[in-house]
Amino acid sequence: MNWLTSIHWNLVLWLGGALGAMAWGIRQVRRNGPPRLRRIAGLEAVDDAVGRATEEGRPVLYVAGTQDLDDVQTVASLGILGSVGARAARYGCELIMPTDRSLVMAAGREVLRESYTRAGRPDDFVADMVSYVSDDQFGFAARVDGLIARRRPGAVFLQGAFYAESLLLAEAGAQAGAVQVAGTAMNHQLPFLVAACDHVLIGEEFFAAEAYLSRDPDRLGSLQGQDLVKDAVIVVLVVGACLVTLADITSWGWLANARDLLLKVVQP
Amino acid sequence: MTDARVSWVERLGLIDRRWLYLVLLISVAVAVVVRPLFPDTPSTFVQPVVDRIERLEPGSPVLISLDYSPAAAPEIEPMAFAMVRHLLMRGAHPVFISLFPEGSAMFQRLHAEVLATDFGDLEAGRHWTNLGYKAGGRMVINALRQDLSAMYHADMDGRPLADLPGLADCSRLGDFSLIVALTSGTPGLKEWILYGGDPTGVPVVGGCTGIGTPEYLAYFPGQLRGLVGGLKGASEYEAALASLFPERAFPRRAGRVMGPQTVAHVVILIFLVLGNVAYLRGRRREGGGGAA
Amino acid sequence: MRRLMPQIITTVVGVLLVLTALMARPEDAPTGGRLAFFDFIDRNFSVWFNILAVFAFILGGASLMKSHLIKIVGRRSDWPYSVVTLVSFLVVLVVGLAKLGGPPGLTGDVTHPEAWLQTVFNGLYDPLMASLYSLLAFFVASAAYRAFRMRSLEASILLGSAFVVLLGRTPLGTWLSNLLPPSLAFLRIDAISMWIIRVPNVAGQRAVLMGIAVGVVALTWSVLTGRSRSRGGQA
Repeated sequence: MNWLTSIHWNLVLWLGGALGAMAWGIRQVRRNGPPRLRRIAGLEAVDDAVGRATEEGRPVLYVAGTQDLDDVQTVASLGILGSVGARAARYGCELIMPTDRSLVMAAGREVLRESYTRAGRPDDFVADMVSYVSDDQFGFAARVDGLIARRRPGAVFLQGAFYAESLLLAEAGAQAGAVQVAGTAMNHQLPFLVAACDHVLIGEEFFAAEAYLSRDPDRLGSLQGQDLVKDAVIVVLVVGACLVTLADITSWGWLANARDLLLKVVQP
Repeated sequence: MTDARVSWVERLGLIDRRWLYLVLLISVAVAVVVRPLFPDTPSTFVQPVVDRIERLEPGSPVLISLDYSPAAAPEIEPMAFAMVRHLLMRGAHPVFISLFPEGSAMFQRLHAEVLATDFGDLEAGRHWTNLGYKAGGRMVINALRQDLSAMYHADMDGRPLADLPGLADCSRLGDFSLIVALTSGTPGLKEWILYGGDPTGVPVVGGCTGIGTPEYLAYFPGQLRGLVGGLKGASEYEAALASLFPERAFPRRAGRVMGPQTVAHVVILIFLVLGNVAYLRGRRREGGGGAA
Repeated sequence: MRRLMPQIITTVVGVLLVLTALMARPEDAPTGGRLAFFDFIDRNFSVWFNILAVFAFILGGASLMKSHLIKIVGRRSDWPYSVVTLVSFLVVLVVGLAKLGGPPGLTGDVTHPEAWLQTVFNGLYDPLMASLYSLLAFFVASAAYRAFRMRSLEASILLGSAFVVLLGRTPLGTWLSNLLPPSLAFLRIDAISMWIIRVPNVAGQRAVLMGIAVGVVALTWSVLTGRSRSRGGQA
């Protein structure tokens, strides 16, 4: 059965281990209750940001990144949109969401419709809250900058995958005096968002945001499992670095064998 | 009693941003007019790209993916032009494709400023080939790994692949001697490393915007054999090309822009210093003042 | 049913794509029944998504026209900008679809030098994009001026690193470094700048990437099992 030999067994091992760790985390939470979460300032600020915008009579602007629905960061952003939308609905604050992809527009409308319904304000939802602007990167940025300059939102959420337009959006929001909460897994845009925004969710914090905001026990358990996976990665890194270094500087065969075995496991 | 007066030093930290923009605009404009050219040498990331192209045999097929848009062209084009000039001077056979819709337009500019101008005696199809843009991102790269003709049946002038002498020994990605990915986003260099270079063993070198350089450095030198990062990297490559072929006197576009870039950096640094002096002075005043 | 059917499609397609990623695709090995199936999925699913996304352009275009037409007809605030938007949209759409100026027909080359679309691209789109990208230079300056203050030890280290890297990435840094005696060569600004970019920066980026990878696995699992709220909010 040659198809068996074509499987990346080391990837299966890692994936299985990660899912197993998350399953363990969920079981722990169901048994012992929710874990203590490290305070993430950016997520604690969501309520304050929407509340401040409501008090000032200014809208909330939400940008779910500039990539399509097939990007996992966009999916994560839509999860956060649900929480932000629910708060905006509860406080009666206007929410504006320009998008640069039609599919994201459609998905965003569905998410907000459900948020407003769950918040008991189904009639406050208007489909035009979520609008399509342009697929073009800078065309979209120009439109959003104009929106920020004219509407002067009280809170700006930049959550998702961004490229060069991130600073254009963030700086426009900063100049309008909005409270800005950003979140992305795009490493090369983090410096710009950190410089221009009040709070930034970095990498895994962004993916944990939905669990953090919803406080759903199963998702919190998944976070606990993720921590276990990261602990395992740290152990592998330290042991691996020591193994590779020692195997290179000594002539001990068993060290070289251990190094080769470890490399076989971690390399695709 | 607290002295509430704000000194002129502290006011430096409260400058309206439009003054900053004006100073920046004027100083960069002056530098653009003067256009100083500074000496430059390839760094530890750029030199491997130069060396790898230097070692190519004449006629070696090299895949060049033009994955950038007009917005990134000021940064990527100088390195693209320099690398293509280097490849053609060494007799290699560049094969141009793109994973970006704007890539075809970027090729038109490269053709006008490099192929037609500096190498007008070379023929399309024989000395270089343009296969054009294909949608699909990494799916295109996966397909090229199997067979070039899965994606391309002819070049952009309509010549069938089988009739192109430059691609006679090249039926799939693994047959290329080098992959050069010039990137301003996704799909781009990362996809070429993961789906192109790694599975086939074809060495990958890249060019990217300055912002993307730290991200791709994570792959250097293992999966990415060399990286030309931003305008500085392009300037270094142009300097290397000038020292290799001094008789050709190729234009040094990136080198000429290093002057304005230097001026811009210095202006920003001056304002950083002013802002921090003002901030520290204000903090000292607030810490030293007593209650009313 | 309205939520169950999309979830079933999501789960089936997602699991198949994950299994495909776990299967190697050796170029020279003969493909068997199972390998050919996963190869088919890998080749075609992203193509099908691209086709769906193209149809979504129609949805987006219709939404764009509707929202701007409502603004124009109702003379709402900034309605002249909506006129500009719609006129630009329709002109470029007609010029591109009709292949005006260049080779005609469905397969006519819109990048032909005489094509009107190429003129629009070179004369309008290209300089507009370059101008907007150039705004970043000014915005970086104002963002750095506002944000890089020595409020704490970490902020001071960040400021110092920014100083070194800004200088090191220009010929001025090289020139200043050349003033140092050889015994102090380790203090060369360009070398320190490269070290900052190559060592602590890349280390931090790799660490963030690993955390992101774990987060992506968790989020994907919750989407495939229907636990994600990305299709619905929670009050």
